[in-house]
Amino acid sequence: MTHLPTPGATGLVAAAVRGDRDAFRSLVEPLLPTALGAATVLLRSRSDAEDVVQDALFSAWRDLHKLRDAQAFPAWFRRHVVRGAMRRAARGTVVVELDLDAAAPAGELDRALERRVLRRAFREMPADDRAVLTMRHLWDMSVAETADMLNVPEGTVKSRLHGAMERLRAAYAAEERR
Amino acid sequence: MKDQGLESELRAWIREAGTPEPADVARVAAGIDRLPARQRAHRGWLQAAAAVVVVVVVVVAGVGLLRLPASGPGVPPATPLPPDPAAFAGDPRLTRCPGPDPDNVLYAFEMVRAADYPAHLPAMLLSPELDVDVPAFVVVYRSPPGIVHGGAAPPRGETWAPRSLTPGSHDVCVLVGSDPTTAEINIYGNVDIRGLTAAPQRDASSTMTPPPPSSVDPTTASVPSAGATTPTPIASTASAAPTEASPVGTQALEGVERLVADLEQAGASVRELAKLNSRLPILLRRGVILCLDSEEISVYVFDSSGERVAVTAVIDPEDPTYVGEAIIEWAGYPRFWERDRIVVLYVGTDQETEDLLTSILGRPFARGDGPGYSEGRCG
Repeated sequence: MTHLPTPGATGLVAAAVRGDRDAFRSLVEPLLPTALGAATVLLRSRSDAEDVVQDALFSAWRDLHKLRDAQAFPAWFRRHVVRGAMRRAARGTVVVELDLDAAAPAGELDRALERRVLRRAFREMPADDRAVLTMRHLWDMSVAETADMLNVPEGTVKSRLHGAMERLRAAYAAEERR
Repeated sequence: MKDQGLESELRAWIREAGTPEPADVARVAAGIDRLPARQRAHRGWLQAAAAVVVVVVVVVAGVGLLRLPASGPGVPPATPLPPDPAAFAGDPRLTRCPGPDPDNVLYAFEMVRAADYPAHLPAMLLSPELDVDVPAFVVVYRSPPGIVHGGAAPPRGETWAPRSLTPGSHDVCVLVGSDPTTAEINIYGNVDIRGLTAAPQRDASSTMTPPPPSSVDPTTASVPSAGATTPTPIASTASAAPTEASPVGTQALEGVERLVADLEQAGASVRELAKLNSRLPILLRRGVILCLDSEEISVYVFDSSGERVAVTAVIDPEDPTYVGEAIIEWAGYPRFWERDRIVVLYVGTDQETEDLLTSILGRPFARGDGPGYSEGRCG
């Protein structure tokens, strides 16, 4: 995991529980870019992702007293984000607005085209698949960490990862044939 | 694209797509400023009293707040005692604590870390707001400085009755923070100071243990419970309980009487445990705490069904953590029922009790969960 808790996490969490907003800010701000990024990939919508991370901020602030181990704050906050994103994805009101074509470097048309195919294939995947792939490739989470985050057995994560890649390959192949 | 390259390409794409614009991150981060205030009901009285409206009250009931005395009633006096308070004459921390009469300061001493308070004051109850790794300054008052009030508020137009302290107990001010001008003020009433020492022999943090189950009011540990002999975190004047003398009246209690009759008719044993003076936002009401067999329920009494409807309308039916603009940490699994002029709250886990209440009052209009559960006082 990339965001290790800081040595002062215990004090920051205690202060935040007492209502210190700046302490809470110190805890969450380093986590916001990857939280927002993951939610964006998972939901395929920047505006939905912002909503989900805002909700996660609120629920984390509200439930901070329930956090038993201050050192676990980063994972705990991510869990709020992921579960919020999964709930949002389950509603099926996704607005697909991600478009990375513009981000492709000039002169790399082939790669841009491949990215477009990949993006289309990815967005057709179910939310569960997108979640495990996002956690693996964006957050570098292990199978065990992903299982804990999604509250599913490790075996489920493994099978989802395997199945997700199989489905991605199939979807990718279908896109290429279009 | 070859199969072996797909995963690495996917990884690169996800990382690219998962890198938000700084402006987007900043917009989300700005939301931190819009979060509602998070404030414990027993925070420093100055802060609380300054609030015209209690926007957020975090009520931690029962399990989380009480600590048994570290060594029980026989805690021996520890040594060394703090130095003469005169040693701190002119210290801005002394004047920061309310009740500035220097002659009324029994002890004053510093704590390297606020979290060390169990070592300095081993009989003091659990005070999680002090579990922080910052310096603190403690003032023990000789007699009540007139800033702390316990029990019900006086009738309108009257002043608080003089408080008497439990023998061996005193009001205490704890300033948390190294800067006396910004340190947080925490006031505690009726603190058992047996075993007080300015120089603890051991690391307090190593002795901190999970609090035992307690038997306080399930709705709020900040409400002094009947017959309580333990120190009570001090409520703010802004969140003071309704007056004991404010009439609930026979008519207003009809709802309770009807409920009791219905429960007894259903075969339940019902007895009144205590009067309820709730400081909960919105539910700032009187009522009764009932023992329904071995389970404890709280009954809030309103002046009219219309008033009850107006109040219950702001309780989130799916998450009663949200009550109007407040965030409340419930001590268990709150379920709310309503009928005519009453609202019934049950935070326990007994399904038969829930079913019984539901059979009489209909389905709960709100339900949720909280950080813990206190067994209550009816068992």
